[in-house]
Formats: sequence, structure tokens, C-alpha cells
Amino acid sequence: MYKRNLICFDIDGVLLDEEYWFAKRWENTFKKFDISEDCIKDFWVIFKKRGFIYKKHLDELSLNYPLINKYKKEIIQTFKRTIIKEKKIDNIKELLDYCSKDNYLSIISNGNYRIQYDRLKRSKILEYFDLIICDEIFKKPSAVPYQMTKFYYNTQELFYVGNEYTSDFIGAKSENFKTIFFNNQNVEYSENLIDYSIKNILDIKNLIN
Amino acid sequence: MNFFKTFKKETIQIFEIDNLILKPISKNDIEQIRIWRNEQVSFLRQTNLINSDEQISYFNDIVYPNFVLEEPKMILLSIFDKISTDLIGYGGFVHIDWKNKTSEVSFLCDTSFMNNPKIYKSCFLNFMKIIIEIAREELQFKCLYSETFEFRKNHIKNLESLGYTQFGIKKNAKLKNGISYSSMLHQNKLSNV
Repeated sequence: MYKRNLICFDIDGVLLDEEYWFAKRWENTFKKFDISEDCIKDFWVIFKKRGFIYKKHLDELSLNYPLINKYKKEIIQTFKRTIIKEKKIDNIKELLDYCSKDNYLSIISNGNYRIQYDRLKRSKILEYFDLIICDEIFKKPSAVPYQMTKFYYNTQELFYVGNEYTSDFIGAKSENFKTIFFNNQNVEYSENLIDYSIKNILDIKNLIN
Repeated sequence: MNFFKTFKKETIQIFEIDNLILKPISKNDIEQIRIWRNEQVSFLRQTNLINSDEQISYFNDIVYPNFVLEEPKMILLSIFDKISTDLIGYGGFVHIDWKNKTSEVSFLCDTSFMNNPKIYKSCFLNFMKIIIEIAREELQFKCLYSETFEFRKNHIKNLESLGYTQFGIKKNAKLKNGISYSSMLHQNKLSNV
């Protein structure tokens, strides 16, 4: 079957809710340890202040709760092993149903392949994607994963949909992908890197026609 | 880059390990390689059988011009058995990305080895040991890639025993007996990127 374009997606923040993924795993992890309510409350203050990707939540927490240091390794291991029910970005199934009718869909992610594959599968959106690349060596903004993606397709257009302005679009642009910035945080951007900025993920339907 | 200096001067550079010898691919080898490729077409990205003329044209037009380039797109080597001196396969670096210092590795051996997993494994692992050493020491590559159809389970095990890890999947990569198969994408980090 003829497919017109390739639409390549980032996972976190575009298909799946990344903040929810971090927050829910922390929440479930703390339930497995005997940690005071005050300590957990302070953890969430740090989480909100520093952001979900910050890797030193526990270090900062241990300044006021030194006992955390004793269990830090175990807590982190539990956190990494914790699997949660993923939360998809609103309307993502509708978008994927629409786009997959006459376009190839693929993934470029910086995450670990096994973990990301499992998350897509459990979210029941794995079947939409023809190619999945989770390059942990040449991470975005490297152009390498985009070059590899191009190798497999001979379509009219290549699109890349990302939400991280500083990492998603440099490699994509250098490999002549049309870049779609899912800019729901209203970040300022340069038009040299971004072809389309959208706030509603369903706006992609109009861009690919 | 010693490898290319000698390569370009047409000095025959030979790499040896255990029972294998690798040399730059010569015109004498390409007909046997064509026969093996056609016999093993179900394991390759190649979809059609190739005839002798097509093989000669491919090597003259695509492969050999690379020998004189400063940054060739591919480096192909013939594999010989050290004792019998028989040609037993070929392989090397393809889709070389000089900017990012990465390459895909290709490998194909005598079709008779395909039915003997022990011999196949020994040949493949020894070949890969040389390839990884050339990639790391001579070419200063940072990473090697590989694409393998999912039904080649032993080959995937062999790759993973060399430190390759899966980083991707391409669905519908091969149609075999009416069934569509995926290919597994593996990578091997050679140095810090």
C-alpha cells in the first residue's frame, strides 16, 4: 500500500506523559518504604521545584532527612524497576489512527530501547509504528538516528514531531525533516529550526495534508 | 589512518586471527560471492537474484571506486581459511558515516556453513574480532551497527555475545514464504561518543 509521508515521533511528552511516568513511579516506590509523610511531602516540593528529570531529588531530600541516604540505593533501584500504567497524551490515539491511514509512523527516542518498547506496548500504541529507534549512543540532537530513519523510507515528506526544543530538532533539520514543535509550554523558538509550532497535537492532521 | 594509506597504494594488507585471513576483496572472489548471495537471498536485504554481469557492474561501478576515496562509503574484505586458503566468505564496513565515525557491518559466509551452527559461529566471531579491532584501532570508529532479520536467532545471539545491544526494530523488513518479518537493529559502542 502506498504511503505518502513518514511521520516520526518522540515518545516522552508527545505520545506519553513523561511527568506522570516519573511522578507515579516515585509515588509507588515510596509506598514500599517506611518513609514519613513529612518527608514525602518535602520530596514533592523538590520534585515540583526542580522538575521531574532532575536526578538529585533524593540527595536534596537527605539534607533534612539523613536517613534517606541509608536506603537511597534501594529506593532508586525500586524506582527504576517500577512499572506503572502509562498515561497517553490527550487525543493521541485519534491522531495515530488518522496519520497511520496513509503515512508511515516511526519513533526516535533517547531512552533505553527495552524500556521504551515496553511502554509503547503497554500503552497499546506499539502497533502503529513501523520503525523504532532508541539510540543511547548517538542521542538527539545527533543527526545519526535521523539518518538511519531516512535510509528506510522513500516518501514525499519526512516529519519529526518533538517537544524538546533544544534536543529534538537540530538533527531532524540537518536531515531535511520538516519539524513540528509540540509547544504546549509556549516556549520561544527560532524559525530556523521549527517549521510548525502547535499547541494541540491534533493540529498535525492539518499539517500533513 | 594506516589502513587506508596501504589500501590506496594497493599494498595487500592482510589481517589474521586464529584460522582466518582477511584481504581486500578482489575480482577473483566476486563470482563466488554472487552465488552465495543468491543462495542466501532470504537472509539478505537483497530481494532479487543477481546475474554475473550485474555483479561485475556493481563491483566496478560501486565497490571498487571506493578503494581510492579518502573516505570510502564501504570497505569490503574477503575471508579465507588460513589452512586450506579457500575463500569462505566476505564482509566489512558499509554505510560508513565518517563524520560521526560509525558504520554498519556486513557479513556473509559459505552457504554450507549455514547448516552448521558451530562452524558458522566460529567464522562469524573470529571475523568480528578482526572487524572490531580494525574499527577501533585503525579507523577510530565510535560505534558499529547491525541489522538482522528476527528469524536469525543464532546470529542475534552471536552478536549479543560480542557486546551488541538492540536499539531498534524495523517492522515488515522481509517477506519470506508469505510471512512478514521484522529486523532487529543492534549497536556496539566502541568508544565514548
